Amino acid sequence: MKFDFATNGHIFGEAIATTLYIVSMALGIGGIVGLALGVVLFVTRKGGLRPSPVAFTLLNLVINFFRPIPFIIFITAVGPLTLALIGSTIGTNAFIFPLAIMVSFASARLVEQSLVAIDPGVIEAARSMGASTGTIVRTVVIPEALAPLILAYTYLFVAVVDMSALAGIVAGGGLGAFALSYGYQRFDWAITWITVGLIVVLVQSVQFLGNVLARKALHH
Amino acid sequence: MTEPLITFDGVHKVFDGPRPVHAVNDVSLTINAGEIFGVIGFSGAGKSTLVRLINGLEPVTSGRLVVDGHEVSALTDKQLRPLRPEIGMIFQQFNLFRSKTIAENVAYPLRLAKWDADRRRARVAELLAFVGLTDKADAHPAQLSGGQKQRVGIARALATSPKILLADECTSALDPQTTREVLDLLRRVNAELGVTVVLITHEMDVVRHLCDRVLIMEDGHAVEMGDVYSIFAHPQQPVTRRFVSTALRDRPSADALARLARTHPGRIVTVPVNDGVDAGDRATAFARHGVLAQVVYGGIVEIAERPFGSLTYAVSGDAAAVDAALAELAASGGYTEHDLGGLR
Repeated sequence: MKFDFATNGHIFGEAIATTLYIVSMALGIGGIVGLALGVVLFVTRKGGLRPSPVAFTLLNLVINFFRPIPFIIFITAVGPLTLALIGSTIGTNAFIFPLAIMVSFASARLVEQSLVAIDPGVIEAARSMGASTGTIVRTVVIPEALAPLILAYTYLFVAVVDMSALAGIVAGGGLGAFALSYGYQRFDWAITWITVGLIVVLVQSVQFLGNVLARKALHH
Repeated sequence: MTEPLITFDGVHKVFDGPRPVHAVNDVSLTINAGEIFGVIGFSGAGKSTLVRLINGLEPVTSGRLVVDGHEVSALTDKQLRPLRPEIGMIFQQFNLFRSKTIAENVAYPLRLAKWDADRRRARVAELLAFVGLTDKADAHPAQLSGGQKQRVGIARALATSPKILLADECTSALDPQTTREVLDLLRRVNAELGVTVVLITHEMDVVRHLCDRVLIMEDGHAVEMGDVYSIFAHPQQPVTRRFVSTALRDRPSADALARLARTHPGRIVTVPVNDGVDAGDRATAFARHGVLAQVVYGGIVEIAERPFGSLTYAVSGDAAAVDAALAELAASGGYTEHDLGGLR
């Protein structure tokens, strides 16, 4: 039986909405936590604004510990924590929790890489004017690294859309589950391809937007 | 004009590491209010570190450093922050904020000092007018030439009306013409605003154009210091002589001398020119003794608004007359005769 958009279109619509919800929540929470962690890495690194070998090494170890775990296994491994905090190991929110953790660590690395690329001279200039570390991060480091940060978060968006397709394994819904249930399992190739096409358009649009914003932020 | 504004007393700076670097080694000196003080040395001599001790960007390892009454060597980074608006700094690579406009760059230190928007706007306009960049207020640094960027750097450094301006190789990335413009601007900063300038450079020409006194650094040591004219006139240390010779190319090299010996008859002598001796007297001294003296090499520059250099003459004529003319020179300021043995 082929998928009938006239009667079951709302299922497709819900899948789109769920995916957008998962992506925006995971990217919103994980992105902000990751920005903070990335700034901590940048500030505490050797030669940083407030070098702290202990804090840097510790955070580095934690990130390196979690990053290589395949996401599908990570979802199940943090199950007890998900249960304790979200109240369930199944459903959309039970999926967003491990995803946000992974996004935090991934974005921490991307933020760190974007920040280390900025000219240390501008930081020294701000220090010479009497700016505190917090002020330098807020008014110099982030604005000077804005273009690479935008590109980093654009890249992250694509990665999160990719990971969000796994929501179905904890009954989290979304476009991944939709393509598998209504396309793959019902031999309805068209549904799979429509889903693929939609995701491609979504990713391309966000990438385009990211490129435009990054170019605007460069001031070259 | 002569009260010490900055006092180094046995100051050391050591960078820790697997191979510790003694960047500043037992430096004691005073810098007076209102002067333009140069620090010259080759790369790695410790001069950049020395000026970063003044505003505490690098903490002093040991010794005592007092800046404008504050014992900088005893303060923490946090305690130093409120003092830094009193000490402006400009850099070799300008270090402008690329994400901000020119006006925002100049306003940045004023924001830190919590000036309100109206006062900031007025002060930025005043500063941009001072450095001649009023029309660039809304441009971004990437749209400016190197010289313009450094002028923005100077405007930004002066925003909070500092007493001291630290200039770290501020012309090293600029061409000679632009270098002159920036040095002239620094002279105005000193003369019109009364700002004490501490300038690091590896170019003796910069020292010659701008500085009142100069410190020569080598391997972290302060090897020689004095007013610029006497350093040029009587360099004591080998490193100082090397720097002086880079700014004064008035004496013929061995190769040039060999060419002169081949093309000119007679004896070749070099006569110093400074404000004690008048070059005109020399010409008449030769004329009075009836010898022919032709200027074949030389150069006279102005150091601290006083003439300095030398002229090299090929002197020919009656041997006794030449001896008499040279004897007169020896009595009035001296001369150096070049040994032409083997060159002709």
